[in-house]
Amino acid sequence: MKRRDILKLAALAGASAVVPGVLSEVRAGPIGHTGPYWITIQAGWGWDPTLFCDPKGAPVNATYDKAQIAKAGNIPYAPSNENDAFFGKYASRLCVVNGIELSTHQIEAAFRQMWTGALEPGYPSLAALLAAGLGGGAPMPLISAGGFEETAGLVPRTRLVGAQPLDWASLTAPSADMASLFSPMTETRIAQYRRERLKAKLATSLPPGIKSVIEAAEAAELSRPKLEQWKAHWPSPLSDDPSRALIQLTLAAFKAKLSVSANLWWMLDPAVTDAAQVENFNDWTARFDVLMDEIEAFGLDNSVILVASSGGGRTPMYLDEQMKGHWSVGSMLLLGPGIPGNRIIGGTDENLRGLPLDPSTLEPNPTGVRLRPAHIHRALRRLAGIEASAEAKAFPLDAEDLPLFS
Amino acid sequence: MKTRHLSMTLVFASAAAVSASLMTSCSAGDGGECVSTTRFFAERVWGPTISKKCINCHTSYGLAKSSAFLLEDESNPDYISYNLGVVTRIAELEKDGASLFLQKAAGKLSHGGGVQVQEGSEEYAALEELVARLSEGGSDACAAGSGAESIAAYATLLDWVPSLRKASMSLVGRWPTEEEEKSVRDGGEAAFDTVLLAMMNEDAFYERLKEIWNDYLLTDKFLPMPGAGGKRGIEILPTGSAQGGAGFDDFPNVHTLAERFPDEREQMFVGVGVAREPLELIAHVVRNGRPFTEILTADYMMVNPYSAYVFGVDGEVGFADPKDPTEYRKATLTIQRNGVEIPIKHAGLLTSHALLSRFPTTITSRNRSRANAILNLFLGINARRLAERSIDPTRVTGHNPTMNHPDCTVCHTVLDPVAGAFKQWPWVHAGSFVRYMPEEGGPAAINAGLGGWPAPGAWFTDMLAPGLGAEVVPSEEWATSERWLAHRLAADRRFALNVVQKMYEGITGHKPIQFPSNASAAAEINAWEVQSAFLKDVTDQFVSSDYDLRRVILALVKSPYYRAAGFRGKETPERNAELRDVGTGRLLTAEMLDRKIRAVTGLWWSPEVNASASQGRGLLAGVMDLGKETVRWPSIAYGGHEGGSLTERFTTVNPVMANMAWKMANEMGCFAAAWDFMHPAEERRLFPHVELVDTPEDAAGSERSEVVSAIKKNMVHLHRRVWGVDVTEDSEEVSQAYTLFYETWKGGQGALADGTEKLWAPCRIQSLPGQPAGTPLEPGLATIDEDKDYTMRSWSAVLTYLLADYTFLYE
Repeated sequence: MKRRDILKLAALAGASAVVPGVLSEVRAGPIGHTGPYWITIQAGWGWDPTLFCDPKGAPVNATYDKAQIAKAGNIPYAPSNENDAFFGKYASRLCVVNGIELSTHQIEAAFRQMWTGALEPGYPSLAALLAAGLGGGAPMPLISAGGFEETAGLVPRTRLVGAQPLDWASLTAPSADMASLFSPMTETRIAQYRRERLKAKLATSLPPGIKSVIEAAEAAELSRPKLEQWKAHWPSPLSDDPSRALIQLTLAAFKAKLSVSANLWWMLDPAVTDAAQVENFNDWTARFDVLMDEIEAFGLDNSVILVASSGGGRTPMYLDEQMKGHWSVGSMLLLGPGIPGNRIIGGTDENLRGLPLDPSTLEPNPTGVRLRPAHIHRALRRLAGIEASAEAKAFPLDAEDLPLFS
Repeated sequence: MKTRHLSMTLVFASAAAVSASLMTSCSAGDGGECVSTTRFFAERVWGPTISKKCINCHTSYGLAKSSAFLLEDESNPDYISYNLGVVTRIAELEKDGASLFLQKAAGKLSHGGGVQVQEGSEEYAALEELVARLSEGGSDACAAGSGAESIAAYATLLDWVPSLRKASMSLVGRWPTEEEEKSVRDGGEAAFDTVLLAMMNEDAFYERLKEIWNDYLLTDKFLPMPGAGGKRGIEILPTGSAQGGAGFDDFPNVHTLAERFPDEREQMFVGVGVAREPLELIAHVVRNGRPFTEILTADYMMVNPYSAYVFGVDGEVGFADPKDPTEYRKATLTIQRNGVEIPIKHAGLLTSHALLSRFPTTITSRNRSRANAILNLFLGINARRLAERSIDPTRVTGHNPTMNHPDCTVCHTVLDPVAGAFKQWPWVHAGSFVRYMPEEGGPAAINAGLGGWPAPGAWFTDMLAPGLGAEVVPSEEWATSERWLAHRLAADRRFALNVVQKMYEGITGHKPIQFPSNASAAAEINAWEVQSAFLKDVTDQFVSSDYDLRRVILALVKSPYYRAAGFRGKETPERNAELRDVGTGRLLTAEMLDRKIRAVTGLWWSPEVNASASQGRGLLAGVMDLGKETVRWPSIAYGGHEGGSLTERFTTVNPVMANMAWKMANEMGCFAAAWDFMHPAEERRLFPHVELVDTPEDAAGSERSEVVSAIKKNMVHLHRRVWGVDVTEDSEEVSQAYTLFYETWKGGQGALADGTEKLWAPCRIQSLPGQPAGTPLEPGLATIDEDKDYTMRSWSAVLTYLLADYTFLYE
């Protein structure tokens, strides 16, 4: 399917809807994807990699000198107790990519590009593309928890988090107490009549927008009974902590083979000072620990690929009152099967410009290529095995193939 | 549902006529096809030439910014029409008897950009034809235009009564009364207008209006949700405690709130008043028939009896009922700053604490992100699109790039003047409060916390001057720059168009069609062309009605975008692309569905329906009953947003949402049937024509024809009541529902006989629904304990079937 065809069809169903026609076939089909599963971790508001995974020291950083830069395996990092713990624990499995050029200073455009690989709008997020490419037939292929959530109409989203306390057990139950409502025979009869009516409705000449939402509704309805498989993998009880509960629900959906990917939105406070940035990183690494603990508890240690980033970074120089603004060069952290650990790719100079890289060795080379999100996304598509999929081809990325994860 | 066939060409006739009178004159193109000038410009001139060449320099931020030929890019919501207007004016100019526009494009005269289009090329020929068309002044207009004609494959529109039902449920959460329907049935379109406009006086309409605008303003984020949000709303108000003393205690009554309102519920009403202030201004303007521009130009704000206290104006504002949290009145605020009384120079939404807190700023952003939000909210300008071009960051060097480097000025020329206009609302270091800091507050200790922010009254000298576009705030209005900006925004044509576009999305559930990036996509251009003309027509009506928003809603509801229900003729991918947004089948929002359930069944879907069984919270994460109004928090699980990190509604369902809908239908089908049968027949909403003893067959298995007739009569009633459609007893719909009823009943007889099911009735209601568990039933109502004939369960099955259907869950 060509991109224009996909876009045209997707447009019929609305920006966040699904591909009509295609959906009802694939989502009613067998559940296929058995991993690896993907989690993208979006950190809002622009973190400062120089206080984390791309340390510089003075004068870029007022809080430490170059001599204080710490290292875990091959990975240097900014000194702090929390960073010591984080990199000490995960460096052997982490791949850090620094010096990613975003080619825009506009924060939303930069963030979008980091998560789609393209500066051009209209592209799906990495999580959405993976969900479509790997598991379009899954009932809840994409779990989306805020942040950049564009699907380009490829897959429906399932929302599992918010500021609201939700009783997920109740929301996924067929009724308050089925035994006291309808007999199984009656319930089956109601569902059958309802389906026959929808089928008849679809056979009439309907506006395309109406037809597509009915098809999407029917596909969701067909998948509804599979929620029981999901619930079978829930820990008992679910955590009271909404962040942990979201992770548990997500991993349970992976285990039940209902979902393929998830994007997590780890909202950070706007942080223009070093102190605020450090506080954010402390919070972020604590959340990362929770995620990794749960992945282990679910027995998915070697089945989940994590991709974490913010948009760009922060300026190399301090502005007034020791504050920093947004910067168009960023970093990304990756971990999981197929991702080489203890590896650092790319870098920045003292002005926080990305270092051009030799396209073969990935070593700094003044005549090499500047690393862009498109390079990383191309490599991730290859890693996932979806680079030749219709969905990936519909959203081409203009960049060289670099051996980033090989 | 009754429909009538109508060519969309006719429906769009007024739009086409208006457009033709402006600039969509038509002429025969290749093959004799009639092509409007707008379409010709979009397809043949804008796409291949101007958007790729001219616009690189001819913008307010480009190298040719001092020329008279200044174009606008895609960030302008109406850029095609705007740029055609620019070209039209330039095309009138000649030099030595030849078109100045053509000569410049060909690199003649003193064109700084040199040769952009080769004479003799296809692009040049298109420019020539455009100039020729414009010089002829539209004399070759063709009535409907090819785009309209191709889209005008015949649509079946809902007739006026079904249209009224749809609009009524959507806007005021109820079906029309018999009188309203009769009036429209007899009086047609004119009566429809009258009835719908009258509905727009109801409180329920303003609930919906506020929901629509909250999807953009997102200020309900600050509402104090019972059990989850504490005193949210109040917390956005600046106090002195966080910032160095009582001298900056703008609203000192915050500290005495608990003494003034010991009842925690009343404290929440304060938060509601603070958080809802911007949405209440919108409601006030519309309710009182004020020009909608007043949402920006109002020199007042809105307070309820509770927020009036915290804002310190409770002694000045009179309320009819000082205990009514839904009563809002106009107020003007004065803050105390170091002993000096400083009146806030209100400028409608632009000086709302809630709105400015929702779109805050930082020291490094310098109000720019806020400016971006304001331009998007009120002019539809999406400045982010300006950044959708790749730059080389290493190239961005030199003195003050944001003012001087083209890679930066592309955005900053648009954002910075507006950012400056908010100079009285600076970034505040501690507490992240939004704080009014005009010059008369004087230099103060608090400024030390503002870092490099200029002193009150001043603005950054390394940014463009406060203003809008190229216009600068005049010195006499320097201290009230927000008001100056408000009036400029309100007077801008884009304000009116933007309001229409946002209401279009709110009413239909569709985003307005953007001009396709692929200019050769003929079907998509057709769709854009017709809708664009329609929205402009509505915009004209809006402006000529002195910005009466109700006229906009009326026009949208009457359009095929809202009323199309089906189509005739052959279906093709191209036709589907053209018609993609015609007719609505929108998924009801959680709030709309919540209201509809109540309107249809008489019960809310909430734990109180059956407190012993349901632990769910229905479709809502929270509810606050304010008496005349209900505040609803849509469940994010059902695709809602909370205005914080989630800001977008889902428009299609996933399995969790499908399950929630199914669960609702299961529970309400059962409980609502029981509740209805507890009432005398004349008081029932759902089952007025049958009793529980009415079985379709007698004990010997013979059909009871009179009863069957009554059952079918009630089926007709149920379809009208639940789906809002008129069917007959011999219709397919009733036939299917009756078969479901009969099979359920028949199966139930067997189950009762063999003991697999019991005589007792399901969903026994023993306390008053909607009230705390244990509240006694009203006198005269009794729990139905037994369903010995299995008719309750049979009717419940039918009701569940109707409630679970697309027709109920979608608009």
